[in-house]
Amino acid sequence: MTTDDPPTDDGVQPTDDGVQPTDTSTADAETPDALPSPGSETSTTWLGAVGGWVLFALVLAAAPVLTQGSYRPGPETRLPATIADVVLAVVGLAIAYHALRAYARNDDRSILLFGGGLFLLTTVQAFLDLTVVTLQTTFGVVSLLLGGIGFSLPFGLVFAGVGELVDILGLVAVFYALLK
Amino acid sequence: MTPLASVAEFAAASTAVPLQPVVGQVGESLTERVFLYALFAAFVVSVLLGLFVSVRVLRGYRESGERRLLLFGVGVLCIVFFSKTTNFLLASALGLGTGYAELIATGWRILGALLVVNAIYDTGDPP
Repeated sequence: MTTDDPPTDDGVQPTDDGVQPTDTSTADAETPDALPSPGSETSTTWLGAVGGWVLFALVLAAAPVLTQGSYRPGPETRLPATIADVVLAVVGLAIAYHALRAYARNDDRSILLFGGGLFLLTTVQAFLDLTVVTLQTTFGVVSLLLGGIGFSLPFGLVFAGVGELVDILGLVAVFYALLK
Repeated sequence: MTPLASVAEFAAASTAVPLQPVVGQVGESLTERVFLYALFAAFVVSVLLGLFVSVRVLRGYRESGERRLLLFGVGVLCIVFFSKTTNFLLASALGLGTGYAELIATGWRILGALLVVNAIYDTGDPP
């Protein structure tokens, strides 16, 4: 342990030789972060795999827009909006990753709800935006496709509705996490 | 014809008179109007919910003085309240292009998410 190590959760500074001055049997119970819980390595591997697949899907969703030079409609904002969505999705993924790791360590459901809510508010929203942009870029007027199956609402309106529902779900999850 | 319009027409045929003017006035856009009202209601609910969560967290900050709570509260405020109201005001009220409004709204969300990340890493120690 180096001198740069942060203090433990109970505020006790480690000694120079790295030995905690407190009783180790109580320290384990009070500082769950100090030792990995059983199966945490598996959880981390699993989380890494899921995160990798999500990132892969993100790249797939954004690729058609990022690789094209001009878009319709609003070509001047399409590219920066897509880049902003990718950044938002990645930051949201980082939050969700930290929350899931904390859940794996502490087994606290409120942390899971907190991370899930923020994941919905950031990454899922970015995915929705990217999906709209990608479908519009690839297929043009997508409402025609939906009209073919008897659903004549404008395409953007449907995704706006889904986005609002996702936002409400995320906020309810965060709110519930705060209550617990 | 939209499913809702056909239902309204069937209802008008069944009840003879009362629904006929409604079908004639609204026609194909009835579904859109209903959906728009529902969308606006969902918008209001999510803005109020976001505001409520933020105020609750910021009140916790005022009581405990924990900087993490301040960062988290402001982060949620940026993610939900500022992004949505900015989007609505710029696109609907000021008539700015939807693309620009959404870009600014996404910027608010990124800022909020970064504040939440900062809250996760914040140790509470002064810099």
